[in-house]
Amino acid sequence: MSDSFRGYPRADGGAGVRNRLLVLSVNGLVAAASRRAVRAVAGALLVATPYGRGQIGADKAAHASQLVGLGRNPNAGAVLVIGADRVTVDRIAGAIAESGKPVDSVALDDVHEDALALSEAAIRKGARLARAISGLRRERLPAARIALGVECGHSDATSGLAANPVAGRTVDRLVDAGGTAMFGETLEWLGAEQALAARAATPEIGRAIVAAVARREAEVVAQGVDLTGNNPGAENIRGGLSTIEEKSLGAIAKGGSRVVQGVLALAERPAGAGLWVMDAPGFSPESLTGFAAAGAALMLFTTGAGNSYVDALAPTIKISGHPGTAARLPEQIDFDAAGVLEGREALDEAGERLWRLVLDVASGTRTWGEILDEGDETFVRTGASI
Amino acid sequence: MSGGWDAVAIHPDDDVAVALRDVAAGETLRVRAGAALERLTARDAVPLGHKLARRDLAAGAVVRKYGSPIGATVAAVAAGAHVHVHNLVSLRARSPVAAR
Repeated sequence: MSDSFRGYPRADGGAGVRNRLLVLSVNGLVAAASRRAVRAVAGALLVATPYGRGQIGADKAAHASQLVGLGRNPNAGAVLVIGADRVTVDRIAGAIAESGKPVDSVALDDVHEDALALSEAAIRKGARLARAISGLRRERLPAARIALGVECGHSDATSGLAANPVAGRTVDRLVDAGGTAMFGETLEWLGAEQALAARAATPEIGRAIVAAVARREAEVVAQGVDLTGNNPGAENIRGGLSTIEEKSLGAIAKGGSRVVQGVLALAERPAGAGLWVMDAPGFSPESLTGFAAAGAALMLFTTGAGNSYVDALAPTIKISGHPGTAARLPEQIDFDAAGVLEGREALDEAGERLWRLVLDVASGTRTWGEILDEGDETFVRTGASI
Repeated sequence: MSGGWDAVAIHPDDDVAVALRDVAAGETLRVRAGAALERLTARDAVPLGHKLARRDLAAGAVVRKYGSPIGATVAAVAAGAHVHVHNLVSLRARSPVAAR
């Protein structure tokens, strides 16, 4: 049985595991009007930035990159862009429309700054888009069409022994099947950057991995924070971690063992299939938005003690290997890897079981985070407002 | 004794196995390494989550876990011994940035 799923093929070659009307509010000035509009269109997903002006340079570019990237995510069947001015809205909507999906837009200056008229126009346009994409149907597609983001949050001593290696086995399966995967949280590579660089497709990519860690470490050190002095800390050592390499290898184990094809900037779409790393913050909300904006349709999220946060646009599979966590959090943990820790399930078997769940979720099985609406998108700022 | 094995080598080539429960000195453990099940006698008491050497390691030997180096031994380590901060040191040089 070759590995496949039932998904929504998109014009740009991507595949959606969901088919949402994305309402993308691109300026904080219209967020409230956008919320009013979304309440009136059943099933619409609102992603609203609180920012959108007063940004300059790389911060401004990163913000636009995230907005356009989220619009281009394969789970968005159509996008309604809502903004404060027609010029900005056209730029963002135009970039999203290059993907071939239906895009419409409303701007505050179209309606003479009347926020109520803005909501009404958004409801009418949103409703038409929603009806259009409701005619799309899932088709059988090869697993190679899946783009996956891999995240860890609230890790504990079990994460490097169970949840992360199991996730890594599944990532290897996807990459071997021709799919695309990415992980990030640059400072979690600290200590393992040489091992990661050794797996890079070219020496230049290896250097970029090491440079990314050094740059972020330097930024932190410049603020007076020492990342390597007491790392692993006393609790890590009690739990069995001996060196920073071991701790970080346990973290990046979630990304599997395959060749690293390149280092992505935040929200940068991979240029091809395979495993990629993203130079991005470690805070899960920011990290996940970076993956979603880069086109990840589905996420794996490993946790030790538990972590309810999920991505809004991409279904997020919660994995824990801590015995008792899945039992304590039955409406949060989608995959229990504790059998690995208890010597009952081999890593390869657990990886196979998780792979089957990935294909199920890709085909429509909902995660707890989707069902309980725990998801959000968090925009990363890289500079201060002016 | 619960489960099918007591320790696991995360990568089959690893120099160390991780104990899945507290282990007493002298116990013979079942170690899962890939598809294989090996026997290893613990030389020391090793707590859950800690490492045991799968083979004799020379002084200064690079120790692999997850298929990659996690450090080097400071003295010879016998198979079955506890491998941790008392006999394993990091290979990562302090970042020149941090040392400034």
